Amino acid sequence: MIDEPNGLLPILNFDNQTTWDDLTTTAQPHLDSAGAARLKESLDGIANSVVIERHYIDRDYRDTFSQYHSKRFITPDSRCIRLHFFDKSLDRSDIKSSEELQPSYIGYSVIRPTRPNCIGRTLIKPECRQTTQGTVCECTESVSIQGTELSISGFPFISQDADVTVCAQASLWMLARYFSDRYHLYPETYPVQIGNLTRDYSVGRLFPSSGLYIWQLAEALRRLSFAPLLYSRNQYSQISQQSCHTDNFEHLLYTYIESGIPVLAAFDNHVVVLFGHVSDYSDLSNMAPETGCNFIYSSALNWAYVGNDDNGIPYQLISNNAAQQQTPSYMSNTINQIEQFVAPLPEKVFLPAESFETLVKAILVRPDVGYQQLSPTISAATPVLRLFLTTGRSYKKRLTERGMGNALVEEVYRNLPLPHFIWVCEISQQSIYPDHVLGEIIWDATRNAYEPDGWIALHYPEILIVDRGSALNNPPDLVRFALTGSTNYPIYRSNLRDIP
Amino acid sequence: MTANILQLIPDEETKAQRLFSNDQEYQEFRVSLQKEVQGELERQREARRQSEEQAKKLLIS
Repeated sequence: MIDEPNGLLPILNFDNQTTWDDLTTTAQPHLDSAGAARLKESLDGIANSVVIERHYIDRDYRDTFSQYHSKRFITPDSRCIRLHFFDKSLDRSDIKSSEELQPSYIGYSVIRPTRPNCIGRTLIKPECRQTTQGTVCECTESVSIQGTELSISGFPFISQDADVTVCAQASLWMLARYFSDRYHLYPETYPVQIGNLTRDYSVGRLFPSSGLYIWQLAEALRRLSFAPLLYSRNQYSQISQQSCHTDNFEHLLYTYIESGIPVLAAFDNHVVVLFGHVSDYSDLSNMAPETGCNFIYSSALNWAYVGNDDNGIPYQLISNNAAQQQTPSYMSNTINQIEQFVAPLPEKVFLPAESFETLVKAILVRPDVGYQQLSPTISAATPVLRLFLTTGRSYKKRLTERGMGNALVEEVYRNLPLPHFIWVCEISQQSIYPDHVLGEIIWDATRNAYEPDGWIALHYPEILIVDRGSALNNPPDLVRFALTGSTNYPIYRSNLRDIP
Repeated sequence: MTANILQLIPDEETKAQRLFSNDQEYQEFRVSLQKEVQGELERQREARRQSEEQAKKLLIS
Protein backbone atom coordinates (compact mmCIF):
# COMPACT_ATOMS: atom_id res chain seq x y z
CA MET A 1 0.00 0.00 0.00
CA ILE A 2 1.28 3.45 -0.84
CA ASP A 3 -0.09 6.39 1.14
CA GLU A 4 -0.20 9.66 -0.87
CA PRO A 5 1.88 8.37 -3.82
CA ASN A 6 1.89 11.78 -5.49
CA GLY A 7 2.56 13.80 -2.34
CA LEU A 8 5.82 15.20 -1.01
CA LEU A 9 6.20 12.34 1.47
CA PRO A 10 4.68 9.07 0.22
CA ILE A 11 4.76 6.13 2.66
CA LEU A 12 5.13 2.72 1.07
CA ASN A 13 4.34 -0.41 3.07
CA PHE A 14 5.52 -3.65 1.48
CA ASP A 15 2.65 -6.18 1.31
CA ASN A 16 1.12 -8.64 -1.12
CA GLN A 17 0.29 -5.87 -3.57
CA THR A 18 3.25 -3.53 -3.00
CA THR A 19 6.78 -4.58 -3.97
CA TRP A 20 10.21 -3.11 -4.70
CA ASP A 21 9.00 -2.45 -8.25
CA ASP A 22 6.45 -0.07 -6.78
CA LEU A 23 9.23 1.70 -4.90
CA THR A 24 11.11 2.13 -8.19
CA THR A 25 8.02 3.58 -9.82
CA THR A 26 7.23 5.92 -6.93
CA ALA A 27 10.81 7.16 -6.66
CA GLN A 28 11.04 8.08 -10.33
CA PRO A 29 12.83 9.65 -12.06
CA HIS A 30 15.73 9.43 -9.60
CA LEU A 31 15.73 5.73 -8.73
CA ASP A 32 16.65 3.50 -11.66
CA SER A 33 16.29 -0.26 -11.82
CA ALA A 34 19.98 -0.86 -11.09
CA GLY A 35 19.79 1.31 -7.96
CA ALA A 36 16.58 -0.36 -6.86
CA ALA A 37 18.19 -3.76 -7.31
CA ARG A 38 21.07 -2.74 -5.03
CA LEU A 39 18.68 -1.48 -2.36
CA LYS A 40 16.62 -4.65 -2.63
CA GLU A 41 19.76 -6.76 -2.29
CA SER A 42 20.63 -4.85 0.88
CA LEU A 43 17.26 -4.63 2.58
CA ASP A 44 14.79 -7.13 1.11
CA GLY A 45 13.07 -8.99 3.92
CA ILE A 46 14.28 -6.45 6.50
CA ALA A 47 12.62 -3.23 5.39
CA ASN A 48 8.84 -3.37 5.73
CA SER A 49 8.15 0.24 4.86
CA VAL A 50 9.81 3.16 3.11
CA VAL A 51 9.20 6.87 3.64
CA ILE A 52 10.00 8.65 0.37
CA GLU A 53 11.22 12.20 1.02
CA ARG A 54 10.87 14.09 -2.26
CA HIS A 55 12.66 17.35 -3.07
CA TYR A 56 15.41 16.50 -0.64
CA ILE A 57 18.42 18.84 -0.85
CA ASP A 58 21.44 16.67 -0.20
CA ARG A 59 24.57 18.62 0.72
CA ASP A 60 26.89 16.16 -0.99
CA TYR A 61 24.98 16.05 -4.26
CA ARG A 62 24.32 19.79 -4.21
CA ASP A 63 28.08 20.31 -3.97
CA THR A 64 28.56 18.19 -7.09
CA PHE A 65 25.62 19.83 -8.86
CA SER A 66 26.85 23.36 -8.18
CA GLN A 67 30.43 22.77 -9.17
CA TYR A 68 30.03 20.26 -11.97
CA HIS A 69 26.56 19.39 -13.30
CA SER A 70 25.39 23.03 -13.45
CA LYS A 71 28.10 23.71 -16.01
CA ARG A 72 26.65 21.24 -18.49
CA PHE A 73 24.23 21.99 -21.36
CA ILE A 74 21.73 19.44 -20.09
CA THR A 75 21.54 19.48 -16.31
CA PRO A 76 20.05 16.88 -14.01
CA ASP A 77 17.66 17.86 -11.23
CA SER A 78 19.38 19.79 -8.45
CA ARG A 79 17.36 17.92 -5.85
CA CYS A 80 17.33 14.32 -4.68
CA ILE A 81 14.98 11.84 -3.12
CA ARG A 82 15.77 10.42 0.30
CA LEU A 83 14.44 7.00 1.21
CA HIS A 84 14.00 6.15 4.90
CA PHE A 85 13.68 2.45 5.70
CA PHE A 86 11.79 0.96 8.65
CA ASP A 87 11.43 -2.63 9.77
CA LYS A 88 7.69 -2.31 10.50
CA SER A 89 4.65 -1.02 8.63
CA LEU A 90 3.92 2.66 9.19
CA ASP A 91 0.91 4.95 9.37
CA ARG A 92 1.31 8.61 8.57
CA SER A 93 0.54 9.42 12.20
CA ASP A 94 3.64 7.43 13.30
CA ILE A 95 5.89 10.01 11.65
CA LYS A 96 5.04 12.59 14.30
CA SER A 97 6.68 10.61 17.09
CA SER A 98 10.42 9.91 17.52
CA GLU A 99 9.59 7.33 20.19
CA GLU A 100 7.34 5.51 17.74
CA LEU A 101 9.73 5.65 14.79
CA GLN A 102 13.18 5.25 16.32
CA PRO A 103 13.01 1.54 17.28
CA SER A 104 12.11 0.50 13.75
CA TYR A 105 14.43 2.88 11.88
CA ILE A 106 16.93 1.04 9.69
CA GLY A 107 18.54 4.03 7.98
CA TYR A 108 18.38 6.14 4.87
CA SER A 109 19.63 6.29 1.31
CA VAL A 110 19.80 9.46 -0.81
CA ILE A 111 18.86 8.80 -4.44
CA ARG A 112 20.62 11.14 -6.89
CA PRO A 113 19.46 11.92 -10.42
CA THR A 114 22.82 10.64 -11.70
CA ARG A 115 23.54 7.79 -14.09
CA PRO A 116 24.85 5.13 -14.15
CA ASN A 117 24.87 5.16 -10.33
CA CYS A 118 22.02 6.80 -8.45
CA ILE A 119 22.81 5.64 -4.89
CA GLY A 120 24.08 8.65 -2.97
CA ARG A 121 24.88 9.17 0.69
CA THR A 122 23.59 6.14 2.58
CA LEU A 123 23.70 5.15 6.23
CA ILE A 124 22.02 1.96 7.36
CA LYS A 125 22.43 -0.15 10.49
CA PRO A 126 24.93 -3.01 10.06
CA GLU A 127 22.63 -5.47 11.81
CA CYS A 128 20.00 -5.02 9.11
CA ARG A 129 22.29 -6.95 6.78
CA GLN A 130 21.53 -10.45 7.95
CA THR A 131 24.55 -11.94 6.20
CA THR A 132 27.04 -9.57 7.82
CA GLN A 133 28.75 -10.68 11.02
CA GLY A 134 31.65 -9.55 13.16
CA THR A 135 32.64 -6.23 14.66
CA VAL A 136 32.66 -2.87 12.88
CA CYS A 137 33.59 0.79 13.25
CA GLU A 138 30.51 2.98 13.56
CA CYS A 139 29.54 6.62 13.54
CA THR A 140 26.19 8.20 14.39
CA GLU A 141 24.10 10.77 12.54
CA SER A 142 20.88 12.48 13.45
CA VAL A 143 18.14 12.58 10.84
CA SER A 144 14.98 14.69 10.65
CA ILE A 145 11.76 13.62 8.90
CA GLN A 146 9.36 16.57 8.92
CA GLY A 147 10.87 17.67 12.23
CA THR A 148 10.85 14.24 13.86
CA GLU A 149 14.39 13.57 15.04
CA LEU A 150 15.89 10.10 14.61
CA SER A 151 19.41 8.78 14.99
CA ILE A 152 21.20 6.12 13.02
CA SER A 153 24.58 4.41 13.52
CA GLY A 154 26.61 2.61 10.90
CA PHE A 155 29.35 3.18 8.35
CA PRO A 156 28.67 5.69 5.52
CA PHE A 157 28.25 4.40 1.97
CA ILE A 158 28.14 6.16 -1.41
CA SER A 159 28.42 4.96 -4.99
CA GLN A 160 30.58 6.75 -7.53
CA ASP A 161 28.80 9.13 -9.88
CA ALA A 162 31.38 8.41 -12.61
CA ASP A 163 31.86 12.17 -13.15
CA VAL A 164 33.28 13.85 -10.08
CA THR A 165 33.86 10.63 -8.22
CA VAL A 166 35.11 7.23 -9.28
CA CYS A 167 35.88 4.48 -6.78
CA ALA A 168 38.97 6.27 -5.41
CA GLN A 169 37.06 9.42 -4.44
CA ALA A 170 34.00 7.44 -3.33
CA SER A 171 36.15 5.38 -0.95
CA LEU A 172 37.87 8.51 0.33
CA TRP A 173 34.46 10.10 0.90
CA MET A 174 33.23 7.09 2.92
CA LEU A 175 36.32 7.11 5.09
CA ALA A 176 36.32 10.90 5.55
CA ARG A 177 32.60 10.97 6.39
CA TYR A 178 33.05 8.28 9.03
CA PHE A 179 35.73 10.36 10.75
CA SER A 180 33.86 13.69 10.49
CA ASP A 181 30.67 12.08 11.82
CA ARG A 182 32.51 10.45 14.70
CA TYR A 183 35.16 13.04 15.65
CA HIS A 184 34.69 16.83 15.62
CA LEU A 185 38.37 17.19 14.82
CA TYR A 186 37.79 16.27 11.16
CA PRO A 187 35.85 18.51 8.77
CA GLU A 188 32.88 17.29 6.75
CA THR A 189 34.16 17.00 3.19
CA TYR A 190 32.03 16.94 0.03
CA PRO A 191 32.72 15.08 -3.23
CA VAL A 192 34.18 18.00 -5.21
CA GLN A 193 36.29 18.97 -2.20
CA ILE A 194 37.54 15.38 -2.07
CA GLY A 195 38.51 15.62 -5.73
CA ASN A 196 40.23 18.95 -5.13
CA LEU A 197 42.37 17.56 -2.31
CA THR A 198 44.81 16.28 -4.93
CA ARG A 199 44.80 19.36 -7.16
CA ASP A 200 48.43 20.18 -6.31
CA TYR A 201 49.48 16.58 -6.89
CA SER A 202 47.81 15.86 -10.20
CA VAL A 203 48.71 15.94 -13.85
CA GLY A 204 45.92 17.04 -16.16
CA ARG A 205 42.33 17.78 -15.26
CA LEU A 206 40.62 16.78 -12.03
CA PHE A 207 37.04 16.51 -13.34
CA PRO A 208 35.74 14.29 -14.80
CA SER A 209 38.02 12.09 -12.76
CA SER A 210 40.15 9.44 -14.39
CA GLY A 211 41.17 7.96 -11.04
CA LEU A 212 43.93 8.41 -8.52
CA TYR A 213 47.19 6.72 -7.67
CA ILE A 214 47.49 5.28 -4.16
CA TRP A 215 49.99 7.94 -3.16
CA GLN A 216 47.42 10.58 -4.15
CA LEU A 217 44.88 8.94 -1.85
CA ALA A 218 47.45 9.20 0.94
CA GLU A 219 48.09 12.87 0.10
CA ALA A 220 44.37 13.59 0.16
CA LEU A 221 44.18 12.05 3.64
CA ARG A 222 47.16 14.10 4.76
CA ARG A 223 45.31 17.24 3.71
CA LEU A 224 42.41 16.13 5.89
CA SER A 225 44.78 16.14 8.92
CA PHE A 226 45.56 12.43 8.95
CA ALA A 227 49.04 10.91 9.05
CA PRO A 228 48.55 8.08 6.52
CA LEU A 229 50.85 5.06 6.37
CA LEU A 230 51.22 2.96 3.22
CA TYR A 231 51.68 -0.81 3.25
CA SER A 232 52.50 -2.96 0.21
CA ARG A 233 51.82 -6.67 0.33
CA ASN A 234 55.06 -7.60 -1.37
CA GLN A 235 57.07 -5.53 1.15
CA TYR A 236 55.37 -6.55 4.38
CA SER A 237 54.14 -10.11 3.86
CA GLN A 238 57.29 -11.74 5.18
CA ILE A 239 59.26 -8.85 6.60
CA SER A 240 60.20 -10.38 9.93
CA GLN A 241 63.06 -12.83 10.30
CA GLN A 242 61.04 -14.76 12.86
CA SER A 243 57.57 -14.05 11.62
CA CYS A 244 54.73 -14.99 13.91
CA HIS A 245 52.21 -14.66 11.11
CA THR A 246 51.28 -16.63 8.03
CA ASP A 247 51.04 -13.26 6.32
CA ASN A 248 52.39 -10.20 8.12
CA PHE A 249 50.67 -7.79 5.69
CA GLU A 250 47.25 -9.18 6.58
CA HIS A 251 48.16 -9.17 10.28
CA LEU A 252 48.91 -5.43 10.07
CA LEU A 253 45.70 -4.79 8.15
CA TYR A 254 43.79 -6.57 10.93
CA THR A 255 45.65 -4.67 13.66
CA TYR A 256 44.64 -1.26 12.29
CA ILE A 257 41.02 -2.30 11.85
CA GLU A 258 41.02 -3.76 15.37
CA SER A 259 42.23 -0.32 16.46
CA GLY A 260 39.10 1.28 15.01
CA ILE A 261 40.96 2.74 12.04
CA PRO A 262 39.19 2.04 8.73
CA VAL A 263 41.67 1.44 5.90
CA LEU A 264 41.66 1.96 2.14
CA ALA A 265 42.43 -1.45 0.62
CA ALA A 266 43.66 -1.32 -2.97
CA PHE A 267 43.45 -4.05 -5.59
CA ASP A 268 44.69 -3.80 -9.15
CA ASN A 269 42.62 -0.81 -10.39
CA HIS A 270 40.09 -0.75 -7.54
CA VAL A 271 39.86 0.39 -3.93
CA VAL A 272 37.41 -0.31 -1.10
CA VAL A 273 37.09 0.75 2.55
CA LEU A 274 37.50 -1.97 5.18
CA PHE A 275 36.22 -1.14 8.67
CA GLY A 276 35.36 -4.37 10.46
CA HIS A 277 36.44 -7.97 10.81
CA VAL A 278 35.02 -11.42 11.44
CA SER A 279 36.83 -13.94 13.64
CA ASP A 280 36.17 -17.59 14.32
CA TYR A 281 37.17 -18.75 17.80
CA SER A 282 35.77 -22.28 17.52
CA ASP A 283 39.14 -23.87 16.73
CA LEU A 284 41.27 -21.71 19.03
CA SER A 285 41.93 -24.50 21.54
CA ASN A 286 43.56 -26.58 18.79
CA MET A 287 45.71 -23.80 17.40
CA ALA A 288 49.47 -23.64 17.77
CA PRO A 289 51.84 -20.70 17.28
CA GLU A 290 53.71 -20.33 14.01
CA THR A 291 57.02 -22.21 13.98
CA GLY A 292 59.65 -20.34 15.99
CA CYS A 293 57.10 -18.11 17.66
CA ASN A 294 55.97 -18.13 21.31
CA PHE A 295 52.56 -16.59 20.75
CA ILE A 296 49.24 -16.97 18.99
CA TYR A 297 47.98 -13.63 17.68
CA SER A 298 44.31 -12.71 17.57
CA SER A 299 44.76 -11.86 13.88
CA ALA A 300 45.20 -15.58 13.16
CA LEU A 301 41.54 -16.11 14.09
CA ASN A 302 40.29 -13.57 11.58
CA TRP A 303 38.79 -14.97 8.38
CA ALA A 304 37.01 -12.00 6.79
CA TYR A 305 36.79 -8.22 6.77
CA VAL A 306 33.67 -6.08 6.56
CA GLY A 307 33.77 -3.19 4.12
CA ASN A 308 32.08 -0.94 1.62
CA ASP A 309 32.75 -1.31 -2.10
CA ASP A 310 31.14 1.59 -3.95
CA ASN A 311 30.26 -0.80 -6.78
CA GLY A 312 28.41 -3.08 -4.39
CA ILE A 313 26.18 -2.72 -1.36
CA PRO A 314 26.97 -1.66 2.23
CA TYR A 315 28.63 -4.11 4.62
CA GLN A 316 29.97 -6.69 2.21
CA LEU A 317 32.46 -9.27 3.41
CA ILE A 318 35.81 -10.08 1.87
CA SER A 319 37.51 -13.39 2.60
CA ASN A 320 40.05 -15.69 0.99
CA ASN A 321 37.38 -18.16 -0.09
CA ALA A 322 37.02 -17.64 -3.84
CA ALA A 323 33.69 -19.51 -3.92
CA GLN A 324 32.13 -16.89 -1.64
CA GLN A 325 32.97 -14.11 -4.10
CA GLN A 326 30.05 -15.17 -6.25
CA THR A 327 27.43 -14.18 -3.66
CA PRO A 328 26.27 -10.55 -3.21
CA SER A 329 27.17 -10.63 0.47
CA TYR A 330 30.82 -10.76 -0.56
CA MET A 331 33.01 -8.39 -2.52
CA SER A 332 34.20 -9.54 -5.91
CA ASN A 333 37.82 -9.68 -4.72
CA THR A 334 39.58 -11.81 -2.14
CA ILE A 335 41.80 -10.66 0.73
CA ASN A 336 44.94 -12.02 -0.93
CA GLN A 337 44.26 -9.78 -3.93
CA ILE A 338 44.78 -6.66 -1.80
CA GLU A 339 48.05 -5.20 -3.08
CA GLN A 340 48.33 -2.17 -0.81
CA PHE A 341 46.48 -0.51 2.02
CA VAL A 342 46.50 2.99 3.46
CA ALA A 343 45.98 3.40 7.20
CA PRO A 344 44.84 6.97 8.04
CA LEU A 345 46.46 7.33 11.45
CA PRO A 346 45.62 10.23 13.71
CA GLU A 347 48.31 12.90 13.61
CA LYS A 348 49.73 12.09 17.05
CA VAL A 349 50.31 8.39 16.43
CA PHE A 350 54.00 8.29 15.56
CA LEU A 351 54.67 4.61 16.29
CA PRO A 352 53.38 2.25 13.57
CA ALA A 353 51.82 -1.12 14.40
CA GLU A 354 54.74 -3.20 13.16
CA SER A 355 57.29 -1.35 15.31
CA PHE A 356 55.11 -1.65 18.40
CA GLU A 357 54.85 -5.37 17.80
CA THR A 358 58.61 -5.71 17.39
CA LEU A 359 59.19 -3.92 20.70
CA VAL A 360 56.63 -5.81 22.79
CA LYS A 361 57.62 -9.14 21.27
CA ALA A 362 61.21 -8.48 22.35
CA ILE A 363 60.15 -7.44 25.87
CA LEU A 364 57.87 -10.43 26.38
CA VAL A 365 60.68 -12.92 25.80
CA ARG A 366 63.48 -11.12 27.64
CA PRO A 367 65.24 -12.93 30.50
CA ASP A 368 64.72 -9.96 32.86
CA VAL A 369 61.15 -8.74 32.30
CA GLY A 370 59.73 -11.47 30.06
CA TYR A 371 56.67 -13.46 31.03
CA GLN A 372 58.62 -16.69 31.46
CA GLN A 373 60.75 -15.01 34.10
CA LEU A 374 58.05 -13.10 35.94
CA SER A 375 54.72 -14.84 35.38
CA PRO A 376 54.10 -18.51 36.15
CA THR A 377 50.42 -17.97 35.29
CA ILE A 378 51.07 -16.81 31.74
CA SER A 379 53.90 -19.32 31.30
CA ALA A 380 51.48 -22.18 32.02
CA ALA A 381 49.98 -22.05 28.52
CA THR A 382 50.57 -20.48 25.11
CA PRO A 383 49.92 -16.73 25.34
CA VAL A 384 47.37 -15.23 22.95
CA LEU A 385 48.20 -11.61 22.04
CA ARG A 386 45.87 -8.90 20.78
CA LEU A 387 47.40 -5.62 19.62
CA PHE A 388 45.44 -2.41 19.20
CA LEU A 389 45.64 1.35 19.38
CA THR A 390 43.27 3.40 21.51
CA THR A 391 43.11 6.65 23.44
CA GLY A 392 44.28 6.95 27.03
CA ARG A 393 40.95 8.54 27.85
CA SER A 394 38.91 5.66 26.45
CA TYR A 395 41.17 3.10 28.16
CA LYS A 396 40.73 4.79 31.54
CA LYS A 397 36.98 5.11 31.04
CA ARG A 398 36.63 1.33 31.12
CA LEU A 399 38.95 0.58 34.06
CA THR A 400 36.17 0.23 36.64
CA GLU A 401 33.91 -2.00 34.56
CA ARG A 402 36.87 -4.23 33.63
CA GLY A 403 38.43 -4.32 37.08
CA MET A 404 41.86 -5.03 35.53
CA GLY A 405 42.14 -8.29 37.51
CA ASN A 406 43.48 -6.54 40.61
CA ALA A 407 42.35 -3.44 42.52
CA LEU A 408 45.92 -2.14 42.72
CA VAL A 409 46.32 -2.22 38.93
CA GLU A 410 43.05 -0.39 38.44
CA GLU A 411 44.07 2.31 40.90
CA VAL A 412 47.58 2.73 39.48
CA TYR A 413 46.24 3.03 35.93
CA ARG A 414 43.65 5.56 37.04
CA ASN A 415 46.29 7.79 38.63
CA LEU A 416 48.88 7.37 35.89
CA PRO A 417 48.95 10.21 33.31
CA LEU A 418 48.58 8.69 29.82
CA PRO A 419 49.31 10.11 26.37
CA HIS A 420 46.43 10.82 24.00
CA PHE A 421 47.11 7.61 22.06
CA ILE A 422 48.43 4.33 23.45
CA TRP A 423 49.30 1.01 21.88
CA VAL A 424 48.11 -1.95 23.94
CA CYS A 425 49.19 -5.58 23.71
CA GLU A 426 46.69 -7.67 25.68
CA ILE A 427 47.93 -11.03 26.95
CA SER A 428 45.46 -13.88 27.17
CA GLN A 429 45.37 -17.68 26.85
CA GLN A 430 43.44 -20.07 24.63
CA SER A 431 41.14 -21.16 27.47
CA ILE A 432 39.86 -17.63 28.23
CA TYR A 433 40.14 -15.76 24.91
CA PRO A 434 38.25 -13.85 23.44
CA ASP A 435 36.40 -12.87 26.59
CA HIS A 436 39.16 -12.37 29.12
CA VAL A 437 42.81 -11.42 29.46
CA LEU A 438 45.54 -11.83 32.08
CA GLY A 439 47.62 -8.72 31.52
CA GLU A 440 48.90 -6.20 29.03
CA ILE A 441 51.75 -3.98 27.88
CA ILE A 442 50.84 -0.33 27.36
CA TRP A 443 53.12 1.68 25.10
CA ASP A 444 53.28 5.40 24.33
CA ALA A 445 52.11 5.74 20.69
CA THR A 446 53.78 9.16 20.43
CA ARG A 447 57.25 7.59 20.78
CA ASN A 448 59.37 6.74 17.78
CA ALA A 449 60.38 3.18 17.05
CA TYR A 450 63.98 3.70 18.10
CA GLU A 451 63.09 4.63 21.69
CA PRO A 452 63.02 1.31 23.54
CA ASP A 453 61.76 2.97 26.72
CA GLY A 454 58.33 3.89 25.43
CA TRP A 455 56.58 1.50 27.75
CA ILE A 456 54.10 2.96 30.15
CA ALA A 457 53.14 -0.25 31.93
CA LEU A 458 53.75 -3.97 31.89
CA HIS A 459 51.17 -6.02 33.74
CA TYR A 460 51.32 -9.75 34.44
CA PRO A 461 49.06 -11.42 37.06
CA GLU A 462 52.00 -11.49 39.50
CA ILE A 463 53.59 -8.10 38.86
CA LEU A 464 52.92 -4.59 37.61
CA ILE A 465 55.74 -2.42 36.27
CA VAL A 466 55.09 1.25 35.49
CA ASP A 467 57.21 4.18 34.38
CA ARG A 468 56.50 6.94 36.90
CA GLY A 469 59.14 9.23 35.42
CA SER A 470 57.90 9.57 31.83
CA ALA A 471 54.38 10.11 33.15
CA LEU A 472 55.57 13.50 34.46
CA ASN A 473 57.88 14.25 31.49
CA ASN A 474 60.89 13.29 33.62
CA PRO A 475 63.61 10.66 32.99
CA PRO A 476 62.32 7.06 33.20
CA ASP A 477 61.62 5.82 36.73
CA LEU A 478 60.49 2.20 36.52
CA VAL A 479 58.91 0.74 39.63
CA ARG A 480 57.42 -2.67 40.29
CA PHE A 481 54.47 -3.68 42.41
CA ALA A 482 54.00 -7.27 43.56
CA LEU A 483 50.44 -8.46 42.90
CA THR A 484 48.51 -11.11 44.80
CA GLY A 485 45.12 -12.62 44.16
CA SER A 486 44.91 -11.46 40.54
CA THR A 487 42.13 -12.81 38.35
CA ASN A 488 41.50 -12.63 34.63
CA TYR A 489 39.34 -9.72 33.47
CA PRO A 490 37.33 -8.67 30.39
CA ILE A 491 39.15 -7.69 27.22
CA TYR A 492 39.05 -4.05 26.22
CA ARG A 493 36.15 -3.29 23.87
CA SER A 494 35.60 0.19 22.54
CA ASN A 495 37.14 0.61 19.10
CA LEU A 496 34.60 -1.60 17.32
CA ARG A 497 31.02 -2.69 17.97
CA ASP A 498 29.75 -6.26 17.72
CA ILE A 499 27.03 -6.85 15.13
CA PRO A 500 24.39 -8.73 17.14
CA MET B 1 52.85 24.65 42.06
CA THR B 2 53.61 21.85 39.62
CA ALA B 3 53.55 18.34 41.09
CA ASN B 4 56.82 16.54 40.47
CA ILE B 5 56.17 13.41 42.49
CA LEU B 6 53.62 10.98 41.18
CA GLN B 7 51.73 9.18 43.91
CA LEU B 8 50.03 6.23 42.19
CA ILE B 9 48.58 4.58 45.29
CA PRO B 10 48.47 5.42 49.01
CA ASP B 11 51.48 4.20 50.92
CA GLU B 12 53.30 3.70 47.64
CA GLU B 13 56.83 3.73 49.06
CA THR B 14 56.24 0.54 51.01
CA LYS B 15 54.63 -1.27 48.09
CA ALA B 16 56.74 -0.19 45.12
CA GLN B 17 60.28 -1.26 44.38
CA ARG B 18 62.64 0.06 41.75
CA LEU B 19 62.88 -2.30 38.78
CA PHE B 20 66.55 -1.48 38.27
CA SER B 21 68.80 -0.84 41.24
CA ASN B 22 70.75 1.92 39.51
CA ASP B 23 70.90 3.92 36.28
CA GLN B 24 73.71 1.83 34.83
CA GLU B 25 71.58 -1.31 35.09
CA TYR B 26 68.73 0.49 33.36
CA GLN B 27 71.00 1.76 30.57
CA GLU B 28 72.28 -1.77 29.99
CA PHE B 29 68.71 -2.98 29.66
CA ARG B 30 67.86 -0.15 27.29
CA VAL B 31 70.90 -0.70 25.04
CA SER B 32 70.43 -4.46 24.86
CA LEU B 33 66.76 -4.06 23.93
CA GLN B 34 67.70 -1.49 21.30
CA LYS B 35 70.25 -3.86 19.78
CA GLU B 36 67.75 -6.68 19.77
CA VAL B 37 65.15 -4.80 17.73
CA GLN B 38 67.46 -2.68 15.55
CA GLY B 39 67.61 -5.07 12.59
CA GLU B 40 63.87 -5.55 12.34
CA LEU B 41 63.16 -1.84 12.67
CA GLU B 42 65.59 -1.15 9.83
CA ARG B 43 63.79 -3.69 7.64
CA GLN B 44 60.50 -1.98 8.47
CA ARG B 45 61.89 1.40 7.52
CA GLU B 46 63.00 0.05 4.13
CA ALA B 47 59.62 -1.65 3.60
CA ARG B 48 57.88 1.66 4.24
CA ARG B 49 60.14 3.42 1.74
CA GLN B 50 59.50 0.75 -0.88
CA SER B 51 55.74 0.82 -0.20
CA GLU B 52 55.67 4.57 -0.75
CA GLU B 53 57.56 4.09 -4.01
CA GLN B 54 55.09 1.44 -5.19
CA ALA B 55 52.16 3.67 -4.30
CA LYS B 56 53.22 5.92 -7.17
CA LYS B 57 52.54 3.13 -9.63
CA LEU B 58 49.18 1.68 -8.54
CA LEU B 59 46.36 3.54 -10.31
CA ILE B 60 42.79 3.33 -9.01
CA SER B 61 40.13 4.45 -11.46
